[in-house]
Amino acid sequence: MLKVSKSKLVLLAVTCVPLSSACNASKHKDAARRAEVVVALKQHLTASVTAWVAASHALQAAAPDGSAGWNVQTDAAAIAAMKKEWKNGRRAYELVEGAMAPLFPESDVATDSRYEDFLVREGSVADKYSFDGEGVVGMHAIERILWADTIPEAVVAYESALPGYTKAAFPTTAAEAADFKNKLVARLVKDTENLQAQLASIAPDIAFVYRGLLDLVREQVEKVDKTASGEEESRYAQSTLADLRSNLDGCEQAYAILRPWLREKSEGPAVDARITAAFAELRTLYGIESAMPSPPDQWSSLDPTPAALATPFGKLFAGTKHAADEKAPGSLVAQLRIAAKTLGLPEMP
Amino acid sequence: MNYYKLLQFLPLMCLASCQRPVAKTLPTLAAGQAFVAFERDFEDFRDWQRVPVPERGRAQGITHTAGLRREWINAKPAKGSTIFPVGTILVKEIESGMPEGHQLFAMVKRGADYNHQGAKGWEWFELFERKTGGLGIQWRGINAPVGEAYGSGDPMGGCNGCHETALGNDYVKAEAAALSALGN
Repeated sequence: MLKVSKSKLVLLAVTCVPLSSACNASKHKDAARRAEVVVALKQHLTASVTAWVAASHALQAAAPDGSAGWNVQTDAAAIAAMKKEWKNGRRAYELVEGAMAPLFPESDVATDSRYEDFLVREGSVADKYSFDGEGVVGMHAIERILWADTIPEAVVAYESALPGYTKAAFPTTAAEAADFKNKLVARLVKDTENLQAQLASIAPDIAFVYRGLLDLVREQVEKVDKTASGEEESRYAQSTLADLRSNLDGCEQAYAILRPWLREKSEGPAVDARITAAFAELRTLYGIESAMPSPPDQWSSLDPTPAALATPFGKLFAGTKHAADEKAPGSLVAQLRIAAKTLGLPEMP
Repeated sequence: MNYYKLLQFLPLMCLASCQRPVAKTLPTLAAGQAFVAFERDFEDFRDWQRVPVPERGRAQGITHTAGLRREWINAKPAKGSTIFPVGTILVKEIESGMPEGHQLFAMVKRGADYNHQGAKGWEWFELFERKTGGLGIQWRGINAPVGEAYGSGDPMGGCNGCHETALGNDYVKAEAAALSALGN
C-alpha cells in the first residue's frame, strides 16, 4: 500500500482545494456567460423578426388600395414606399437567416424561395396568377412585381426559359391591385407573424445559435455562385450584394454578443483580433461593387480559370469561398471554430 | 438497523436503478404549440424505453442499412392513442459494419402545422456523437438536406416518402412501435 505522510496529505489538500475552487468558479462563470449569450442571441433573432413583421405590415399599408391598376406616374410615391419597406424587410431577415432557416424550413420556403423553386416544386400552375397568395409567394414574388418594369434582360432571358413562366408585371386592374395588397402581401404578413409566434415559444441552445452563425458565413458562397447560373437571389431589385452585406452584418451582430465572453479567455483577444480582421476583409470585398457583378463567360465554380478569378465576380467568389473554408488558415469560419473551442462550446458539424 | 450492511448493497441498488429505462414526461405545451427539439432533448436517449425492434433488420432505402439496430422512445403514448403526442421522440441507432456505419436518426413529433405536406407534424433528424461526449444535431428538417444520402438520392423518396407507407401508425414504421403495441 502506498504510504503517504500526514504532512503531504495536508499539502495536497492545501494545493488542490483552491485549484478546485478556481476551476469550479470558472465553470460557473462560463455557464452564466453561456446562458446570458443564449438569451441575448434569442433577443437578437426576435428583434430582427419583429422588424420584418413591421416592414411587411408597412409594405401592405403602402400598397395602393386597388381602385385601379398601378400607374408608374401617379403611384410613384406608393411604389417607392413599398420598395423601401421591401428592402427593410429583406434586410431584417437576411440578418438572421442562417439561424432561422434550418429551424423553420417551411417559413423559409414560403417567404424566401426563388421563382424557379416554386415552378420546380409546384409545376406550371405555380405562377398562373401572380397576385394571389398561392403558388409563387414570399419576398421574391413581391420583389418581382415591384421591380417588374426594370428587370434586367439576363434575368428575363433566364426565367422565360422556365416551364410555367409568366411575365412579371405591375397590377393592371383594380382586382389585381387589390389582390396584390390583400392576398400576396397579406400572405407575407401572415407568414412573418407565424414565424414571430413560433420563435417566441422556443428556447434555443448555444450549439444551435452558434451553428447559425457559421451557416450564414457558409451560405455566402452559394449565394454568389448561384448568380452564375441565373439563380441570383434578389435578382429583380438587383440587391443580392445588399443581401450579402446584411448576412455579414447579422454575423457581426451575433459575434458581438459573444465577443466579451471570448475576450475574457487567455487566448481570446488574439482569436478576436483574427476574427475581426476576417470580418473586415469580407466587408471590404462587399464594398467594392455597388451591385452583384456579372459572372464572366464560361464561369465554373468548380474549376475557375485565373482570368475568371481576376474579374470582379471571380474576386467576390474567391473571397467568400475563402471566408467559408474551414480548412484555410485565417478564414472566418476557421477562426469562428477556434473561438467556439476557446469558449468550450460543443463541437459542431 | 445496521446501516453498514445496507451500504454493502448500495452499488447493486445504484446499478439496478441505472439500468431501469427512463420514462420521460412529455413537455407541457399550450394548445397548438409546437415542440422544437434541441440537443438537450436527445441527451440521455440510451436511458429511455427501448422499442423492441428486431436487432437485425433488412435495409430500407439507402440509409436505413441492414445491420444491428436499436430504437428508443422518450415516452410511450397513452393506451388507445391514434397518433403520437407532440413531444414524442424516437431515436434509431444503426450499426451497419461499414466504417461510417454507426448512425443515429430521430423523428420528433413537433406538431402544430409542421411538415404539413409530408409526415404531418414530424421533424426528421440525424444526430452525431461528439468525441468529447454528448450528442449533436447533424441536420434537421422536413427532409434530409440535399447532398445527404437520405435526401433526394434515396430511391425510397427520402424521409417522408418512405414513412408515408406507415400513415396508419402516424408515420412510424417499426411494427414494434405500433400505437396499439406501445400504448401505456
